[in-house]
Amino acid sequence: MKRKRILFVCISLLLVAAVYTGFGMFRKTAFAQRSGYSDEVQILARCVNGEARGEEYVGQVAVAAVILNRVEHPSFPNTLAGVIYEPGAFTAVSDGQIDVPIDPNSTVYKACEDALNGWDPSGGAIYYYNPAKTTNKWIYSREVICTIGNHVFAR
Amino acid sequence: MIQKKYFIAVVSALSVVSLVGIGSAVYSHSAGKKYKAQMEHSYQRCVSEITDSVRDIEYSLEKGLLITSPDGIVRLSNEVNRHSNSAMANLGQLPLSNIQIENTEKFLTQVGDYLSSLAMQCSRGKEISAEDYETIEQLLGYCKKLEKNFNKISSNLYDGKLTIEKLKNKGENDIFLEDSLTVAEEEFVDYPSLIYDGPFSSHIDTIEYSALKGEKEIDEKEGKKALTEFMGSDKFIIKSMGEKGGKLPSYTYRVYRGNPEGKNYITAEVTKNGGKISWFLNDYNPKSTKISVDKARENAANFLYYHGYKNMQENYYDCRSNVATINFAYTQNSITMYPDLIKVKIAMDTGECIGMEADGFLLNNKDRSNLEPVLTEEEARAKVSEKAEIESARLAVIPTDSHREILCYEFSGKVGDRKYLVYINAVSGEEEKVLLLIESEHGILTI
Repeated sequence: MKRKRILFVCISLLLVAAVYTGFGMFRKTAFAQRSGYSDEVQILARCVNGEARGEEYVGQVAVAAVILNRVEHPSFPNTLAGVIYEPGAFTAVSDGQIDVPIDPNSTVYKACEDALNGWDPSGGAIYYYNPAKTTNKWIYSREVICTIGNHVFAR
Repeated sequence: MIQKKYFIAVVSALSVVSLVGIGSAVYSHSAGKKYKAQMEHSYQRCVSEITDSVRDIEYSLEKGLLITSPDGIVRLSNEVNRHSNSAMANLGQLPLSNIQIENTEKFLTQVGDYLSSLAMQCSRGKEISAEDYETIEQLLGYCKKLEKNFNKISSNLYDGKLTIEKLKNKGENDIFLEDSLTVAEEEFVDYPSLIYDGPFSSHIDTIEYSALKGEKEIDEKEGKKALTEFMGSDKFIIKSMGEKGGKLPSYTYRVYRGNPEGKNYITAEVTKNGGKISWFLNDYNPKSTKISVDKARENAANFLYYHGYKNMQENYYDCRSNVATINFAYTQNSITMYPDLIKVKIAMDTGECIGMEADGFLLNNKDRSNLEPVLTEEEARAKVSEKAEIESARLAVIPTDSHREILCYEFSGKVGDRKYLVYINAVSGEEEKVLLLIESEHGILTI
């Protein structure tokens, strides 16, 4: 009887180990897709996709606009890549959401083009946050400009 | 009764799996340590580069106080910009949140930008004034403070007293980069607004919207009414979505032309001052192209005319993913006013207007009827490089990075295959800008 119990425990552990390893081996690192867009639009779209793919269209344009506003602002890096990859600036970069493939039906590319063409629903904002998710207390001290969907835009 | 051999087999399998598991854990841990060391070294390199760059900026500014020649200022500007760009690039790689380095980055951007602007003015014959030297002195003061702090950070780093990543067990004597930089940032609290002729000047934040000057403020109901008129039908359901602050206070609305609980709607903003439509976007996503680009351009022009925007002339367009975005600039007395821009989006399947953006127009549009060139077209033409074969010319007002406006002759020309736009100042004859015109299947891009 004792052997049976030990055997049962061992087989269970083996199954757990097999499942764990299986997941490890078959989970691929995801990368965003390429298509016929310029470098600028690609990197912007990947970041917007990571940050706001669940938001309404105007919310996506607003997020793209904030990133572009930062490039123009003296307190932030002066290049698009510099702004996006600034450590800690976007959670999508720190948690890998920026590498999630962009859905073929996604509107993020169009949203980025609109932002690059001058549409700015954020009103010149250089910060945005999701009040339900953010743990950063300091950001509440910034002047709020507007709210679109889940994001509050501020400067 | 479980047979002995099965029992041994399973227990052995488990042992092997455990050993493999422990092995890979040990390997991951050591690989992790290696990557962590690489990151620390990379951060240390950044701090070292920043310290060097800031010191170099300080030396340059000290020398700058004694420079009187225009090319001296140009050289100074080149030096400082090189160092400040390097410092900015390295600062942007440190694992700090922006709030901790906000003012430091602002200083680094503005010191280079200010000197670039000064260099350009001096190269055009402006004398360096006492005020300019005073500004350089002020910038030098801040630079010295920054240098002192980075020196401290650098030496603590090499003494092993400073760690860049926040460790879990923070000892009392441990100094962290974040805290050191907070000290540096605090020195900048009374950093003045630097106002000069450049894109990063502080005056850009507080610019006034010319087209809305003197207009009266409206309430939300009046905003809705203005939007209803603009949309052209009182059958649409318009929902108020709140207000927006920032540089152009507005009311935000959603316009539902079909089902008011549906997913398709137009988002629009109406300015509080004057009740003008500052932009709208229809989230409709065209899936095919059924009309020609020329038809799209015609529709866009008609849309603007019909909505009361007179004298708008089409300039460039871009057509991709079944959407055409067309740029229009205001014209007065045959002068193209580039700052007064309105962009229109046309769906290439239905031909309908699905977006408009008029911020440039609202910001800059004003009466410029007293604008007159001093040079004749021939005199200006003589200033254009002989290499260019000029195809056309017209007068235009162009915006500068710092929101000034310059009246120019715009010469459209080519050198071999390459097309250019050359802008000659219509008052002073100086070459203000040279742009490349790149034609692609999507439209025309000016760089």
